[in-house]
Amino acid sequence: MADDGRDPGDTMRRWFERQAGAFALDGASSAAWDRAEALYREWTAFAGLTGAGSAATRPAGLFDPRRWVATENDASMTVLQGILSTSALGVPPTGDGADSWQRYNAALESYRAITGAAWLGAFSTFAERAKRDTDDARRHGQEPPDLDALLGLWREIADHEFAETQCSAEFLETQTALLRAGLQCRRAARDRIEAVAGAIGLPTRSEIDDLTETVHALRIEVDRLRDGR
Amino acid sequence: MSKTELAEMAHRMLSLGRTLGEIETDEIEIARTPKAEIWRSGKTRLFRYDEIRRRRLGPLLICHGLVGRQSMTDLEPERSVVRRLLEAGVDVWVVDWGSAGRADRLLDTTHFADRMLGEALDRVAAETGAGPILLGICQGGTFSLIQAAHHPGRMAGLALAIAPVDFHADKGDPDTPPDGFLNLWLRSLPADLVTDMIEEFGNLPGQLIGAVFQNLTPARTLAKYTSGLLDLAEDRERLTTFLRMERWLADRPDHPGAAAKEWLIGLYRENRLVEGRFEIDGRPVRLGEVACPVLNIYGTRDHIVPPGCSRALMAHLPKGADYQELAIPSGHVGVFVSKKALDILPGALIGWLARIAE
Repeated sequence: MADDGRDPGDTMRRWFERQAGAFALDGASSAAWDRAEALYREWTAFAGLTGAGSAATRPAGLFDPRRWVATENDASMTVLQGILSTSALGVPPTGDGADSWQRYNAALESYRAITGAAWLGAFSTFAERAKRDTDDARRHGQEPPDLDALLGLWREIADHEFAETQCSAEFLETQTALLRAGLQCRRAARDRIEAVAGAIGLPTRSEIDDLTETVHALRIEVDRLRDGR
Repeated sequence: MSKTELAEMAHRMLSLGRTLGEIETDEIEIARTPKAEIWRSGKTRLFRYDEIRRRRLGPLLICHGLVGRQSMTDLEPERSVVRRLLEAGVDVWVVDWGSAGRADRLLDTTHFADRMLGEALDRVAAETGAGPILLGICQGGTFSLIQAAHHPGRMAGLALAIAPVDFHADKGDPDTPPDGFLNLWLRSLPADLVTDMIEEFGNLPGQLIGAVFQNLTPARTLAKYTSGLLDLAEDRERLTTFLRMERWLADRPDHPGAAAKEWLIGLYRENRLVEGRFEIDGRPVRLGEVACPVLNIYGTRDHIVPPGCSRALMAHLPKGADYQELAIPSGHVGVFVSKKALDILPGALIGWLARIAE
């Protein structure tokens, strides 16, 4: 038993519950994810049957929903997340930081739900067009579309679908919420770092910013004097 | 897919791996055309390119923005607008804004577009004895336009390339490409969020800017590094051009904070420039004060600065202004690096320089 009367195990359990809550998928995003994965499995089966086969599934990353929904495979989202999240700072979130971390992850899941749905829409359209083009080719005794043609078709459809999604009011609101939540997360971590750094006499970001403001004001003054103003 | 096609793909992957392993870093250096530093103030530097042919036109000062480096105009010898101009006898100068650090976060548009660009122009005039002509590219074009409007007597001509002027002209414009929604994204960001974000980071991180551009076309971005690379596997020349382009894209500096706030809120969100409410050094910029010949270059498939956002300039210039447009069938950066554009742009720019020199 700790001096404050609480069992240390309670703290760990509360931490685990918080983490589980932070990472639990809500209904919308998990349903979108499940549908995306089901469609991907259908596509690989379809590709195998039509002989577009293993080669089409090899560059599977382009068709794999995890490319669009999982940040570890999406370079630009990784950059965004790295900039905004506390994980880049190596500071485990606690207290206010834990709350803002949880809100950030909730906002991220909402973002993923929308992008996952966009992927689903793109893939549905692509699967329908690919099947139609393949059937038409076979009917006319021609070779079915090769991999390059399929990849080109996918790029065209996916970019169109994502463009429509990314212009929607829902996406814009979700993107804004994600940015806000990420900033709050980062700010909470910075506040904690500053408190620690200040306590042990290290220079903090706020102090350095204050210094540069002074330098900037001096620079303006020098420019004015130089210009005779 | 047949076994033959499968074997072909495997062969391409092996070729790609081998070629990438052979390419040395200095083989993909960019901006190699020799130039000399003439002036510097803080991190801002002014360079004059060494002449290739006797100087007979210009001087032409190239002003890029803070969002990407000026080295794009000199990507490689075969794709260098700078070299083409030098080969035609143009006296070419360029201003380099350097790399902003956190200490530069308070530098605003007045500092870059008015003060520093003004000093650069004065220096060019002093060194050459001739009225300089400004070529402003993208955000540098907006800076150049601001300079031309605020100080009409300072330059002999103004060329703008892929430069946003009316930041709301994309709305309902049929010429806006389907993936040209950057303006919409930036308009959707509340001003307080932009302010908070920039104050938190000090500057607008270059990495974030790059990520935003990539996310405009996610499938195309992903394909570029997968199937796109395989297409280049057995063409070393195209592969090295690709790598040089990637080198330029990766070298994205942070955007000084105060200037970024004005850019995102004052221009993208509130469109103050064309409304006469954008202030420089406490005075509103009046586009109607531009007094020199203007050449306005835009990309017809530009999804970063939709054509309408550039072409809107015509309506704000004085009546009877010497104004000319040049449409390039390309995207944003393609205006300077695509082979098709390089068949059009340098020649047209040189012709315009010769005409206004008469």
